[in-house]
Amino acid sequence: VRLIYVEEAVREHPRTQAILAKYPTADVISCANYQAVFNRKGQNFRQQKELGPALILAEKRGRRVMAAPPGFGIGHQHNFYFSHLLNCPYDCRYCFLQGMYQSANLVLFVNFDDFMQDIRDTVAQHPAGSCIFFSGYDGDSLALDGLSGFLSAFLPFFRELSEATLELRSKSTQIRSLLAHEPLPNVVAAFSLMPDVVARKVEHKAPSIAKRLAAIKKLVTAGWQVGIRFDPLIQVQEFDAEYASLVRQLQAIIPVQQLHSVSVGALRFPVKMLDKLQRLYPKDRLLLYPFEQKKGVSSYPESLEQAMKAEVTQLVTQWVGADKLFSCEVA
Amino acid sequence: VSLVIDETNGIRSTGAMKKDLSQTADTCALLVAAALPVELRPLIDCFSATRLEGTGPWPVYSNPDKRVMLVETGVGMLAAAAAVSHTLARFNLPNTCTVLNVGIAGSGAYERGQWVLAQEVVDTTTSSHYYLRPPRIAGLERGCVRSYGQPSDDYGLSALLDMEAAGVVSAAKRFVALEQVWVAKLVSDKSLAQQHALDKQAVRQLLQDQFAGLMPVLGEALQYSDRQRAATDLPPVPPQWLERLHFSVSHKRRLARLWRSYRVYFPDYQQLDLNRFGSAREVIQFLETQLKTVSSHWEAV
Repeated sequence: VRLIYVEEAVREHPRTQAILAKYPTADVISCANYQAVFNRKGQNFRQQKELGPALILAEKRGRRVMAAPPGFGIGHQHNFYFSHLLNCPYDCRYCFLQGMYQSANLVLFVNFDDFMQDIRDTVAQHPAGSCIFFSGYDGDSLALDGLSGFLSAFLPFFRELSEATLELRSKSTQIRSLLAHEPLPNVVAAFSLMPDVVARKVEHKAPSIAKRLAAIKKLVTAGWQVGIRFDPLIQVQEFDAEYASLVRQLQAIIPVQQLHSVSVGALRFPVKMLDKLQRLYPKDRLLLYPFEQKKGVSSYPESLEQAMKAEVTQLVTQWVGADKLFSCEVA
Repeated sequence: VSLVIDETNGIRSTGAMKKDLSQTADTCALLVAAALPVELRPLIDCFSATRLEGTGPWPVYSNPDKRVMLVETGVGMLAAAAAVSHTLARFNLPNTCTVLNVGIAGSGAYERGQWVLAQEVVDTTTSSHYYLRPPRIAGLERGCVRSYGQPSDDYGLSALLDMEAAGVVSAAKRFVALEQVWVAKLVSDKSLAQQHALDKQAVRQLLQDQFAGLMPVLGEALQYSDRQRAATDLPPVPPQWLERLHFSVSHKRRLARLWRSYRVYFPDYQQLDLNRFGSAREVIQFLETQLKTVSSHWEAV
C-alpha cells in the first residue's frame, strides 16, 4: 500500500493508527468523507487496478447489515451480508464490483464494533440458528486480513454469537488467523474455485488454484468447516473433464463431514453493467463473449448454462449428495 | 451534427464543436496546459512545437506529429478550465491522452525550485477536492495544491498555492479519466516578498534552471497515454456501413455491441469486404452468425 486516504472521523481510531503504523512510507491524505474519493465520477477502475489501488480508511455509517439478494444463500432462513471492506485486491475479469463501483480503491471500514452491534441486533430479531452473515459480498473476506485484523475481531465475536453463522468468502490464502484460532462450528471458510485453465485467464492477481487447494487442506486439517463456491461457472474446452478433475482434487482433501456446502452459480451480468465492463476492457475475450440478453441480463445461452450447471451438479451430488448443494441465482 | 459510434462513449452526437474535424489530433498523447507564455515557452521549445492557426481564443501549439499539444490558458481557474475544455473538444483529442498542468506555485512548505506533483487539488472557491494519482518519480515530491481566485499569501499551509490547477482538473476530468490528469508545480516563492519580486525574467530563469526536473514527468505522461491507448484502441464500426446503409437506432446499438465482439474474436476483421452487404439487416445477421461459432473456444488466444 503506497497511498492511504483517511477519513477525518477515524483518524484517531486505534485500528487506523495500527494500520498507518504498518505503512510508514505510504502517502497519507486526509479526506472529510470517503465517498469524496471513492464515489467521485470520472475515475477509471481499470487504470486504478493497474496503478495499484489506494487504501481508504473510513467509518461505515447508516445501514451496516443488509439482506442478501434473493437466491443468495446456503440453506439458512435469513440471509444477510455486511461489508467491512469494499473491493478486493484481485482483478477477476468477471467480478461485478468493477461494474458497480467508480473506483478500484479499497475501502476498509474500521468501526468493527458498530458492525458487531448491528449483527447482534439482527440476530436478536430472528429465531436462533436462522441467520447467516456473508462477509465477502462486496470484497474478499480474507485477502486483507493481515492488514485489517478482521478475523481477530470477528472470530471471538462469532464464538459468543453461536446462534448465527458467518461465511468468509475468499480466493485468498491468508489463513494464518484462522489457523491461530480454534475452529468454530458456526464459521464457514468458503473458497471460490474454477478449473485452473480458466482461473489463469480471468482471475488476475488471485492466488492460483493449487495454492487455494493447499489453503483448504490446511484448514480442514485444523478442523475448520469449508465451503466450495463454483461461482461463476465459465465455459471452457473440456468443461466436463476440467470440473471432474477439480472435484476429484477436492474429494482428496476435504472429508465430507467438514464440507459445509457447495454452491453453483452461472456467469451473469446485468446488461448495462456488461456494457460498462466491455468499455473498460474492450479487448477482453471473456467480456466480449457473445452472451445472450434476456430480461436485462446477459448470460450464456440457456441450453449451455443449463448443461454446465447440470454437469457440476451431478459431480457434486455424487460426491456429497444433494443436501449440501445450493444454486446461486443472483444476476 | 453527425453520429459517431466509438469504443468509449458508444453512440453519441458529436455536436457542433466537432463539426470541423480538419484539425483533429487523434494522435495526441499529451496535452500540456500552462497559464502564462513564460511558463509554456520551455515546453514549446522542448517539443519543437509551433503555434497552430485558427485555434480560437487560446494559443495552441503542437509538435509536428501532433503527439504533444500545448495550450496557453491565461491566468485563473475559469480561464484554465475554458482553455482545456476548448482544446480537448476543438481538436477532438482522444480520451487516452494525459492532461498535464504545468506552472509555478507558492509554498512555505517546499523549497524554491522544487517540482511537486499534486495528489490532491483543492478549489478554494468551491471547496471541491480532487484526488489525483500522479506517478511516483524519484526526487519529486507529491503534495496538495490549493487553487485560489486571486494571489494568496497562505504560506503557512503545507500546500502549494496556485490559481489554475483546480480549473484544469475540473475541466479535463470531463474528457479523460481522472487518473490521466496530472499537475506539476514548480515552487517559485516562499513568502509574500518573494511573490512580489517575481517578474517574467525571474520566472523564465527559474524554469530554465529547473526544467530538467520536469523531463521524467513528461516521459511518464507520454508512456502512460500510450499504455491507455494500447489497452483500449480498437477500430470503431466501419464508417462505410453507417454512411451507406440505414441502421435504425436499435440496430446501431446492436451493431456496436456485435462489432465489439467480432473484432476481438475475429482478428482478420480487417480482411472483411465491407461492401458485400446490401442492408443493415445483412450486416447484423452476418455478425451474429459468425459470433455463434464462438463457443468453448472463447479462451483460445
